[in-house]
Amino acid sequence: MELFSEVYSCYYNVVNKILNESFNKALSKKDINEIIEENAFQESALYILPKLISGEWNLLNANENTYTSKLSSSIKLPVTTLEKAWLKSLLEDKRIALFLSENQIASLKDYLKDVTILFNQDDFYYYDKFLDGDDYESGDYVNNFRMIVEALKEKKLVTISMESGKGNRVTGNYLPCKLEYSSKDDKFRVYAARIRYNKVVTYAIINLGRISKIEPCEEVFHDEINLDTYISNNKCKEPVVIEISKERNAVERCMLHFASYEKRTEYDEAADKYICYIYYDKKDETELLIRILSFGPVIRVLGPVGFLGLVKERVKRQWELLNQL
Amino acid sequence: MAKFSELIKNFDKIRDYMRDFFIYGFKARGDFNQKSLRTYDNERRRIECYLGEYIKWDTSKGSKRVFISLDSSKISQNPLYAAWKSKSFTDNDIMLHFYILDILKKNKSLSCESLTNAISEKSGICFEPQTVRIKLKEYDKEGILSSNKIGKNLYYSLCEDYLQKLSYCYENVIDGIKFYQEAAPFGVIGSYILDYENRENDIFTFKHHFVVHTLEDKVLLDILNAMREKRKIKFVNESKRLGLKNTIYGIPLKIFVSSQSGRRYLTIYNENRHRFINHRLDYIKSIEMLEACKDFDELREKLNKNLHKCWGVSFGGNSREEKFTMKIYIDEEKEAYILNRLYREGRGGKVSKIDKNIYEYSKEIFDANEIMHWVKSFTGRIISVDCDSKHIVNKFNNDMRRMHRMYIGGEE
Repeated sequence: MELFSEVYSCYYNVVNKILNESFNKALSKKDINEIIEENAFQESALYILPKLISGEWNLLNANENTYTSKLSSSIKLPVTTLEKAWLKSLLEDKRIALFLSENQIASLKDYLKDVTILFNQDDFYYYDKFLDGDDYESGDYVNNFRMIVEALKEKKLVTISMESGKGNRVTGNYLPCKLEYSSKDDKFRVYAARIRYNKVVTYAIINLGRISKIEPCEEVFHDEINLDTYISNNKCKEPVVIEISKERNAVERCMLHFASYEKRTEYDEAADKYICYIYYDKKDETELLIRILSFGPVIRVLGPVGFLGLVKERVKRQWELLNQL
Repeated sequence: MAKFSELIKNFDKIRDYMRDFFIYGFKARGDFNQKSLRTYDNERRRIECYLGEYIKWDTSKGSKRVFISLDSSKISQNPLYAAWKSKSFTDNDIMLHFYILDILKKNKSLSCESLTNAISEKSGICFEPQTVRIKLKEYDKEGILSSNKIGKNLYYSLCEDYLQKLSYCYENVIDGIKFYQEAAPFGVIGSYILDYENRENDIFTFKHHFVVHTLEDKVLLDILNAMREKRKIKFVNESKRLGLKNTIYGIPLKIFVSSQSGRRYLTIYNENRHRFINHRLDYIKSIEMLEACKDFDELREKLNKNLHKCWGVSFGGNSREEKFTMKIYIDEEKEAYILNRLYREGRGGKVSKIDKNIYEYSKEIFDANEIMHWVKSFTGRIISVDCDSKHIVNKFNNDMRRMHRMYIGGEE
């Protein structure tokens, strides 16, 4: 089972698309070029197009300025052994219950019974995952998850009742826009627009585990939702700027630790230190703050002023606590 | 001069460059001194081809630095998967691929000779039967074709295992793949399936997601194969930071994964030192499978029994076990979420209230040094820390003094 194989390559995939399209209708060079540009890498057209047109890859018939597939039918790669082995591993994951019923899981297991599993759940140990992850074995949770996925796919409103972070009970009509999973928290969160009288009242991020009930909603919402604007409005105005010293392998630890953030790093030769600019969501400011503090003195926050103030406040409070003893 | 190609023969080469561009991003052309500058230029151009919009430049410090910048919570598919989809091939490879799939779709079963003739007829190109045979064997092994011996001849058929066969739950399976292509190990395999199904993830996004893990998947697959076969392994461990390159022997038992620091480790049992040791997965260069290990199950069981005493990936030094205690201040009325943090993030440690607004967290662990990263995330509310290793306590107090000097009391 090869993980790195041309069979899965972007070039094979795009040629497959061209052959299937040109089996149904003759394609011009421009059409072929468009398929390549949409589905392959930046410079792929420079390589794939001449190979197909010149006949070096003798897969197309040329008729004046159009091209048709030489094959007798459309082509599809079967699910390979590697892919089956991966699918079999997923059936052992507890989260699979979110997608498949017990009967479906049993039937798939039977279908894949002769395949050697790619990995077992017990092969991995997630040592710092939070312990209060979502309850994937709860029937209510699974139903809520499926209703959210369905509403999201069909762009339909649902009525959600939940407990807010402050313990208040909230009920409203929401249009789910995306479902976010955090591997650290082991939780799903729904990004949704709250709709009232056919208008977006607000956007909300709802912990799926806090939802007590979801029901279909009569209300219909026709406008397009612009979640990107909401997300970009939530982005920090200025990045947090940190200075990383070389001690305790801090540079490597820090670069990897903050790898999931959009960031930029430069080396300050004069100080022999690294300066890193981290862009973050304002709602996650506290999380970033405590992650930075956890590095202790090997990271120094340089700005912006507001964030630096938060660090100073905690350091000051810490100093006072230790000196009370 | 060799013509530039977006495709590559060897994944390991691009793995290192991609990692450097993504994780560090502060290196200029001249800092990549392990290979020639032309190699750097080619690898950089390839990565630009794969990742387009995520490639950024910075020339503020004189020399041009190329880096990959992305917010992993905004992407629906790991862009680094592109590297896995860049394997090079020959003209014969691609032509045979499509003609074999096409001809076997129409014909239930064909011998290599009949298939070679059919391909020549269809394409007008004469392929050597040996070339076709090699490809058929390869596809048989990958599960694209199946073979059946009748008399002296092998007959090949197309494996008609399409996902649509599961039509009664096809959409559910696709939704699951959209999720697991990012959330499960070897997610790139899910993205291969989605590619051929012409489907994209339009449901999920992923927070605290370390896209760079995919670059270690080849090494990981070799390790898991060895684990499944309960075999010993030999591997090259290369730490660029320390400039060390060692060959290590051991019994692979588990993969430790951090959802917070982004690191993954291979746990081996080192027979010479009679102990478990973790090695960074991204430092491992090549895996060689050795003989079977008859004690595999017993060792894994022993490891599992020890897991609750690992805070992170260390199995301790000479002391083997240390008691760690921390007292922290929590305003019970307003800060219940801090108490929740102790339970949620404390990895099974004991939490007890010792006075109004004062809580104690304690745990016995192999290496208390590892817990200090988490402890410092409570900066601002730590009343005291205590530990069997006094140097840990001293280091903490010293760190807090340095932090105070740094932010409050003048220069560090």
